[in-house]
Amino acid sequence: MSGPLIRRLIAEQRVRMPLEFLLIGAWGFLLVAVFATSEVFTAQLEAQANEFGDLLDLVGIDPLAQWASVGFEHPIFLLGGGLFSVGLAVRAISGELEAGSLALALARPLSRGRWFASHLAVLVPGCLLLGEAYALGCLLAIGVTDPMGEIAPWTMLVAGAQGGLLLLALGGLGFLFSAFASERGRALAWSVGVIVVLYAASFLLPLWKPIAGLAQATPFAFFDPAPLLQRGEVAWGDIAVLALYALAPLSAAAVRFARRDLAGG
Amino acid sequence: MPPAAQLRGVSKRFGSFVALDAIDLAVSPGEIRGFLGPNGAGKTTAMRILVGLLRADGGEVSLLGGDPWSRPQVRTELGFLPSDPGLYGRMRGRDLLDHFAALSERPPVLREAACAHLRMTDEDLARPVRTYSKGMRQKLGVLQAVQHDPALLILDEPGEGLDPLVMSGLLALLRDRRDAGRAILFSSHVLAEVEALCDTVTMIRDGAIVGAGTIGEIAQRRSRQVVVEVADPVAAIELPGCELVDRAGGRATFSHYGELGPLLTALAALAPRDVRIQEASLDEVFMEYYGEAAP
Repeated sequence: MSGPLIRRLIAEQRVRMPLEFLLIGAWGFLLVAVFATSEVFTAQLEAQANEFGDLLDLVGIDPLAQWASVGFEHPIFLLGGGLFSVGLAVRAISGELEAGSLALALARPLSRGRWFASHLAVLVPGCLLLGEAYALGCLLAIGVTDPMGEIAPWTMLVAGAQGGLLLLALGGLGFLFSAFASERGRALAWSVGVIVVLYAASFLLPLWKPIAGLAQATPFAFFDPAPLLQRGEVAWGDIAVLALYALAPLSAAAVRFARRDLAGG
Repeated sequence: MPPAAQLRGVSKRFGSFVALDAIDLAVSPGEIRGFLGPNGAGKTTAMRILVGLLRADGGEVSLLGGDPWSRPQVRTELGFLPSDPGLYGRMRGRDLLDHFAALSERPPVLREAACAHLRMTDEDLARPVRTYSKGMRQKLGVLQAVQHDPALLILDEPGEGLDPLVMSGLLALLRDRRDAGRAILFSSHVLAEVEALCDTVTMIRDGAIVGAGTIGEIAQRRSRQVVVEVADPVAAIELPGCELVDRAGGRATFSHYGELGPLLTALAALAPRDVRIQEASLDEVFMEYYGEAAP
């Protein structure tokens, strides 16, 4: 890794990152606040509590936890986090190559491996931070609005880290296309296109039985924080698969970047 | 003394397009070598292979004693200016120079002197790069390449966008570095710059080297223009090593190749009214190498 490079990357994020953090945190806060203050929700919950309270407790379904987990999988969370992870990834190689700045940096005693690792050193904590932004937003709203239902803070924080892992997987795809392309726009178009297709597939494929199993090929199939938020069950298998989803494209991107000609810019 | 940078029999293809065809190129400490060629001839490809941004398909590449592709550490003593340098627009000029100096792992010992040569003030360096004009950006590009006083400078059209005053400062700076024993590879389309600055020149065309040597040697290998005026307009004039280009009355214009001695003897025997012999300028040499009539 290269200290000066990491410092520059962090400096570049000094405005964007806090804004994305606030956006995602506000999304979490808003979601829980709406849940807490909505008369419809409150009436439904009171009715459920009267009629099925014992049953809900027995199976461990908490409407607040269910609601909060929906926010994690919502396009707003993915968009806010993807802006950072995919944005950083496509700029890292194809963007800098197109701009002509990559040639200036790599004409120095800086290996491509160090260039790549330095970007990862910013990408990984950034993704985790944005995942936690949503968790912190939710927890803040729970503290402020006192909604019906309960979420253990530690489950929210673990779910935040899991969300960060999903963002890292999306960033990995961005890196992969960035390592092959010579223009930022092309890398971005491929990344966004593939992510949208994967996201849609995770919802649509289960509707048609013969190909329902293919939904398991998308990273989104391995991100369901509901059981964790409701019952405190950490899905280690899903976490491992998500980590693999992040590692595979990142490794392929690193190999491709190390071997490719840098003719542009 | 071994060359600071050397390509030996280096080839490079992009798909079916042959960008470089077994070229040789070397620049030694204390030498400024001009690298000339029309657009698309292969200059930038050769320079990027030397820096380690492109991998050669064949041949040997040596930069400061190592292979720049597999040993990035050899680039500690390299200063590189690509033809279109990308400078981070949001950074201030000074911060950008500090950043590149840190990446070079060398202190910017030459920054102040280079700023003076290029007329770059402290106020200029305090501004964000996005507010710079094209010429200012080019100056900053040159500064990031030279500020750590590298043993080897590879500059791809460094004069692009510079006004004559700054250009003369740049030439003086490069001469200083040459005199301090640094090796400089310099490409330019402005032949007057190359003629004024470079000790040696390598000329490339369609990915192949078509000429190399000192500027004097290259010019000598090319034709001189000989204009002879004789009293008798109908007499045939034959001169050794000369080809008739034009004849009007008693005045004939020739292209001459080779040694001057036999030509001068023949001219003396001719007793002409007037004789003019002109060396080919680098401009003319360039046109001979690269013009439509070139082989």
